[in-house]
Amino acid sequence: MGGEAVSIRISGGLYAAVLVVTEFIMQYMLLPRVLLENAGQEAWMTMILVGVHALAVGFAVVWIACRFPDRDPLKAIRCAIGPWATYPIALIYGAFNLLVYALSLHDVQTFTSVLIVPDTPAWVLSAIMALLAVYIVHQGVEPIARTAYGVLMPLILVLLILPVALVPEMSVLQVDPFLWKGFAGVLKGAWIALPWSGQSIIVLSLIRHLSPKVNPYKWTLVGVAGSHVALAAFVLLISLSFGSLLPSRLLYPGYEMFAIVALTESIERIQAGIMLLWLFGSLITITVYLFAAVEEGSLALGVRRRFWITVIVGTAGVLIAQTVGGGLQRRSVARQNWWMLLHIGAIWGVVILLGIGALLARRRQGAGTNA
Amino acid sequence: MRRRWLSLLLLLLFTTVMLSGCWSRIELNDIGLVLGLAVDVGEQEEVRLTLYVPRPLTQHLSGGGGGNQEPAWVVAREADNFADALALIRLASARRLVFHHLRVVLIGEEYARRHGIGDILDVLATNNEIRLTVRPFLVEGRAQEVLETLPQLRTLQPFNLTGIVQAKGGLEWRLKDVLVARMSDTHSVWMPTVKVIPRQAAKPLGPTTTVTLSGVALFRRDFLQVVLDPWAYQVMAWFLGRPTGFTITADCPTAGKGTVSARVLTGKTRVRPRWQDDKVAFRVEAIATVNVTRSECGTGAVKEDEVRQKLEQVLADDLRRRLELFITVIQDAVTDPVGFGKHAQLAFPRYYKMMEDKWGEEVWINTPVEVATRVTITQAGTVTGPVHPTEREMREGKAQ
Amino acid sequence: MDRQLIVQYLRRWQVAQADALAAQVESCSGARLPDQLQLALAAEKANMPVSPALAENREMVRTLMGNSSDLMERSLYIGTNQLPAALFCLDGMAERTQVMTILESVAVRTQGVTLPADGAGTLLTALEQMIPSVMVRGVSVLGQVLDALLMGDTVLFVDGLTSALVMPTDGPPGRQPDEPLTEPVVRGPKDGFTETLSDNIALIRRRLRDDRLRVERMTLGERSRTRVVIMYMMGIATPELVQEVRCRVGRIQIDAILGTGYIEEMIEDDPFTIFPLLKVTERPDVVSAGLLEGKVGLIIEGSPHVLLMPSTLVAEMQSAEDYYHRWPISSFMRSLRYVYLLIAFLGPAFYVAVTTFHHELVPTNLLVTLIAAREGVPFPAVLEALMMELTMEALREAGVRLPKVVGQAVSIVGALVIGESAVAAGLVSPVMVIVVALTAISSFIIPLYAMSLAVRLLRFVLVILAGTFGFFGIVVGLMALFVHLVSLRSFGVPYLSPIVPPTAGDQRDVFVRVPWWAMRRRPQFMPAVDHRRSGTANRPKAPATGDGG
Repeated sequence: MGGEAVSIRISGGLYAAVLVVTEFIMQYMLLPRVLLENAGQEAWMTMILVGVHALAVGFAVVWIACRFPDRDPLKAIRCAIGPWATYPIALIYGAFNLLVYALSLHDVQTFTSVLIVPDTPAWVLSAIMALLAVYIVHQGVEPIARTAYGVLMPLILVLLILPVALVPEMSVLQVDPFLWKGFAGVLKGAWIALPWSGQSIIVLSLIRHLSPKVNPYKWTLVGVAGSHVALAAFVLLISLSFGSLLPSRLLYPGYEMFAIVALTESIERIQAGIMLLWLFGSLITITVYLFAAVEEGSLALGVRRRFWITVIVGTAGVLIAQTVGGGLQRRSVARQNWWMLLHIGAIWGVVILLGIGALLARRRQGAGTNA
Repeated sequence: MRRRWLSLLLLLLFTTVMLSGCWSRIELNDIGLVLGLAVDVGEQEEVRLTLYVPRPLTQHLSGGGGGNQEPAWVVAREADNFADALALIRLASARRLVFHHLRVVLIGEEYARRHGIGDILDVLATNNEIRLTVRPFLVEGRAQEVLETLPQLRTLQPFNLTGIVQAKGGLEWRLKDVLVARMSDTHSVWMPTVKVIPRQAAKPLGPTTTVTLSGVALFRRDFLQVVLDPWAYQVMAWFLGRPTGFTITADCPTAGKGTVSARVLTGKTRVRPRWQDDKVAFRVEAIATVNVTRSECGTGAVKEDEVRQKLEQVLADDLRRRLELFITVIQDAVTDPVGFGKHAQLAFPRYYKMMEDKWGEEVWINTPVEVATRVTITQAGTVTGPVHPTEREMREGKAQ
Repeated sequence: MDRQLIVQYLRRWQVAQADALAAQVESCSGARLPDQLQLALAAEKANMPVSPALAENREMVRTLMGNSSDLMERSLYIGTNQLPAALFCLDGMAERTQVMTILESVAVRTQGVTLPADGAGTLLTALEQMIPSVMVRGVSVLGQVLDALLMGDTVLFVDGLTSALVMPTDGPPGRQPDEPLTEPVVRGPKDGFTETLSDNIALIRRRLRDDRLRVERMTLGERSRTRVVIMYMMGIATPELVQEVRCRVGRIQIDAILGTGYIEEMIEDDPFTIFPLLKVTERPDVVSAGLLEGKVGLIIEGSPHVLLMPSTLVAEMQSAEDYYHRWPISSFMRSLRYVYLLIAFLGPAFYVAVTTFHHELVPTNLLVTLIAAREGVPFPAVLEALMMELTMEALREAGVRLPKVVGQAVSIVGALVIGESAVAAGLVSPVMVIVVALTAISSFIIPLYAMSLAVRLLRFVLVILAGTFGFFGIVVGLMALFVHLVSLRSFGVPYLSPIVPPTAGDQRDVFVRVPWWAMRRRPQFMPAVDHRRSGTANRPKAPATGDGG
């Protein structure tokens, strides 16, 4: 349990479930407002474009990983060239994931304390979530994947029922002509959403646990494309229910959309169920990022004992979330240029370094290693 | 060994949390639900805020007989702005007021004319407790009186108000719709209106006033423009909802005979924008199927084609006149509550983009709108004709 | 006690420690040997041979058993040669009628028979021929003689023979197979296991008349020498599983096994979980069905509860009755059972969370009624819930201990009176009483008692979490619970199979039950050698209409 992690294998479905839950849950609460502000009703197109970018990142990593028989490029690089070559990659990747983990914690704690338990100090919420994440990461990748799968099923059900329940809310007054804000708006929205989509880089940590019999490309496609298609549909629903102008003022339009669904006079508060699902999904997302940070971080530093590093990283994340989280979040939302470049740079930097490292490793190993 | 450390950590956190108390807890006994909110012009100050908070005790005991114990606490305070007024109310409230279950927002007519509803709408949207499914109403008169009036068919006034709207069926207009209209320039804000009217009390102690739905209020840029009568509410339902259940009453085909009334079973309105003489024109098509409920026209059995066609014609004419009157009124008021602008935008986006700034103020009021209606009578209740001998039958009877 | 005989025996034994012991015996005085000496003698009993002198054997057996009052001794003379013999048995452990049958044939019927006197071997054979016992074996060590006596066997010493004859006559007090109290069914067999090992094995054999049903016996417990039997279907249960079970049971070192709980806690995968990892049942049909799925059964003498391993959460939620009723009804009941499982441990927590933290999630009408109902109640909702739950637990425990005649009345009266009075006194709100009652009823729907105990414990934890953090607390608690369940293994099988990891074919038997003709394979998540259960043509068809229709 948590020792030799590579011996645990997860199936393709679980792998895709982790990807879907991670990408969908975090983004559906925060992203729609930003996208609708820029692209208007065509925010769904933005989402598709963003999904293409996410797929590009994911496929790049998968392709590099598949060059090696056990789909572990970092291990191959370590063996072929030497551990020092993996340090930059793993450190950037680990630090990046730590940052995202801290930001996710901050997001969830903000949302929870704004809408769910208003008077509870936010750090307590973060501390509890971090504790839970540490416990789950300690159990290994399989429980994470299974929990993601368990959350995915009700989520799909809700997403299928949602359009039906929202039909009374849609009216022609909320429809805009196609590309009313122009294609420029779509592209601008896509640019802003790029950092979020780059998070599909976590496949680097997941793919070494994927069972060797399954086709990683297929399941990465299912996971990433599935989540982005669902998000696109979701954003479209928001736009049809609220028009394209109002959501830019609402902080959490996704949440508001669930709040206005009223099946009957008595069953009108289904947002409880959605809130629960979202909380579950957020906990999984936080856990996945912590897992990615710990996996690569510990590999980079050559640490064997996973437990203590998990605790340290977890606590560090909480502290970051409390101290600079707010500031970082503001900058992230404001989309300042340096933030965007940092984020995208980190993501593609990791991919490129990985690619170079893999190439060198292959050369060193000589001919004969087939993927 | 690891497990022990983790459990210790957990236990530590747990006890700390438990010992320091839980923060966001609030017992049911300590909350006061605000079900209704009314905003008026104050007598001494700018704003007069009234809140409607139901009393829990009287719900428990059967509230029959005497009205000496009111079902709710209606409290009003005046201040410069909404927030200060709310703070003053909180000074008098023994429970924590929560707005999660707010049902209705009532805005006084004078307030809407003088200050505009912009502030109120912003406050409502900002508050994270208030949901977007709240129903806004404009009150002809003072909004506070509506909350103070005892309801007739429900226990609490806000439920009464929402019930009045829902029992009509077909037209749901809530804060969300108002905000969407306010943010867009393709259609303008409107609200249903209510007013307090006197009532014949059954017993000496019964209430002498009651609340009724009284029409439609049209706004232009947050300020009240015009208040229309209840017939306008029905027309709004034709455009924005489903007019099922509304009544059309028309004069009989032969003049002087009386009127015929029919109840709408299904109704549908289409707005078709057209390009006419280098500008946009609209054609409104309304189709309805109705059920004749009463007829003074002595025309005989409705199932005969000739009779039916005549009746259908008069009903369609009446409907058309109403729709035309409504369009004239809204064009005169320089408002567009039903969204003609939106239809123009969807049909001619490039033109609309050019005209965007001028649409609401200049272009719309001069746009020609043509109305065409068609009414089909499918039923006439459960009888085949009037329950008295018609002239023809009498003639035939005499002849025999 | 005749010390001389003991000394004589020890001297005859001619082993080093025997001389030391003999000296000690000689030197002591008093009616009883001191405890130290008795322990020393007992320590050597596995090496003491049966002596050819009858009197010595008798004295040694008496001494080693400490002159137990239930040790029955009968001296007799066999055959016309009048060979002295002695019959030993333990009253109560050995069934008297069986012993008397043996006695009759040995003492009475041999009156006119002349026994061969030309060697121990022929005498032994002759005796074996005439003893009407199902099995006769010879033992030559006093330790084995004692073991046999304690098992309830009858031992026959004959003067001149250096081995004793042991005949199984055990018939300890036991009861008839009766309806199991904790797992009653409406439709289905009503026999349950008893405390007698052979009866229990017979109840299973009766249902699985397959020669491939294996029964392996082990003895556990130094002082209790409890017989424990491992049963499995050879050809269905995987050899690895059986070997693992043998290994785990075999390495238990304890002084007594008095119930299944002892063994269960020592062989399960994760000792720190509240969830039962082995299925405990009193019903033979459940055990038989389990054996047919590849599970291994463990029967312990003296306990009517049989352990089945491996077990999963789904197995704990299955009731035997599901398989006897028609499948739509069974499916409905089963799905309902899972819903009630959720209510059982989430009910009070949800109520507390919703009324204390998340009022916006309750419909307004209901909220107004709830507020009215809670008027005047002095305690916060969390405390109210905990108080009511603890009262409910007290009632439950009291109900178990009360004698049957009084129990019924008190439990019903208790529930009604306490609930009503508490509400009337303003201590709790009526809604809380409803919630707690519904939760209690829901937890009784869980078929396996151990599972409902686990759920009861969970409920408290979740109520406290809900009272502290509302929905957030519930989510964190549920997540931790789910992760814990996902990592649980029962003999290598994931605890949440076949829900997680999902196997397509096994969904037939989880939330619904498909008709028997559709259950063609054994569950795939169970390690089994042979998965095919039944043929393909079992689906009933209406007879073809033709002549006679």
